[in-house]
Amino acid sequence: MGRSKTDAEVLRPEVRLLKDHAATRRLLREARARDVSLAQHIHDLLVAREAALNGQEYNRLLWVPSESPAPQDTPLMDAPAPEARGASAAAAAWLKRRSSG
Amino acid sequence: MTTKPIRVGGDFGNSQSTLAIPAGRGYRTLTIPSFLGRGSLGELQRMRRGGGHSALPDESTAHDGVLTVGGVEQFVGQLALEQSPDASSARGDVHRYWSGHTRKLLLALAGLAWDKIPPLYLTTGLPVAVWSAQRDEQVRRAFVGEHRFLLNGAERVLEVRGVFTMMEGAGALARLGTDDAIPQAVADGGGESFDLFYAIGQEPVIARCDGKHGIGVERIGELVAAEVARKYDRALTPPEIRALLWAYARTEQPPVIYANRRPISLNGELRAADDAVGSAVATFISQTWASGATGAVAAEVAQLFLIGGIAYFPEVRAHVQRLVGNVAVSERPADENAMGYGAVGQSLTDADWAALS
Repeated sequence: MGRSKTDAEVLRPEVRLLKDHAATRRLLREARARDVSLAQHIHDLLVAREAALNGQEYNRLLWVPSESPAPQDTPLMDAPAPEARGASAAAAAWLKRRSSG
Repeated sequence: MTTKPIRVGGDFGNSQSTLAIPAGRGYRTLTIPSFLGRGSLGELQRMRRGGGHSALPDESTAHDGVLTVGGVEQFVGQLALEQSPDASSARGDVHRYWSGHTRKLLLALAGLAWDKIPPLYLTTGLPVAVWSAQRDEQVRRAFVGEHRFLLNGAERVLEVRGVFTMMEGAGALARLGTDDAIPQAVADGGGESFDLFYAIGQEPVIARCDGKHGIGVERIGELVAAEVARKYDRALTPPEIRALLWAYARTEQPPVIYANRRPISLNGELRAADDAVGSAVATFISQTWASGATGAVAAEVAQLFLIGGIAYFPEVRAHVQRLVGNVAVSERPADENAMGYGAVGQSLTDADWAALS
């Protein structure tokens, strides 16, 4: 049987963050948006970093509700066309206007 | 093997510039202030060494840059705004779209977005009053080609393979609107100007499109600065104005501003300036989109979208809502044009792009 979580040795580092620093403010906003404590949020970010280093998708792991969705890194190829109902019609309209112009 | 170009949308406003890069089924956007100004990498390094900065990168460092084009170094984006004595967004100068200012902003954005920049197909917008087939061609000539530059001392190359332009507002409508043949309109308020774009489906109705300088987010800042100067005999700096507007528009805690060693609260001034610009916006919309002699405004329009940075300001939104009703404001109003340009670029065929190079 494996060792239970409570038996594992843990480190409790003390982290000091400048209260009035943009990075700290961002962390606090994110923690509030995720409804977790600041310590928990920092812990989750570090776990996500470890997962990212092991091949999981970085942007998905770091996404928090307070920020615009940060989709995966742009691959160096054509991405599938994002949905936009008017895009083809707009392209046709402005191609026509350009050539008649 | 030739790398296939990425189709991006670029919205180069008087105040902010945004690049929309397709990612998955959405867009990743990158925004910098549209400012360039005197400054060098040596100066930046001296500032960083001497400034006692924390080891943590500040939010603004993501938007910093020293851009070197043709051997000339300049600060770009937030860095120019904060540190260059002559920082300029070339606002109000329509030549900036093809003279080089906008191209430099694209270089900076592409350099911030990628270490190794892929070739790009760029779709972008021109103000309603500026767009013409001739101007479309001028912009294409200014952008298409290979551009070698340095960003923060590192060598970069950007190859723009094709450029497609449309009117500002048309990008957002392509994304938010429909292709059904119904009247649709976009009210687009940026830093320094306000554009009204009107279409049946996606076909622009030029007679009902118009643009006006002098009403926008920066006007709100000017009004606040004038009031602070009058009341407190204190000039607000451009970064202070920007920080105040940003906090007010997003209902965040505003930065503390001091006048003669006393903190001052500016909420009343911000709301009054927001209201004054909202009133000017409503007047412009009612002059442009009056529906006959009944006093109704844009009554025939099926969908009306308020976009741009101005859409974050509550009094402006309230004025437009009172005037026309049922106005849609998206979650990311300041990014809609850039993302819409990107969507239009995605829908062009390879053959279309070949003709736009």
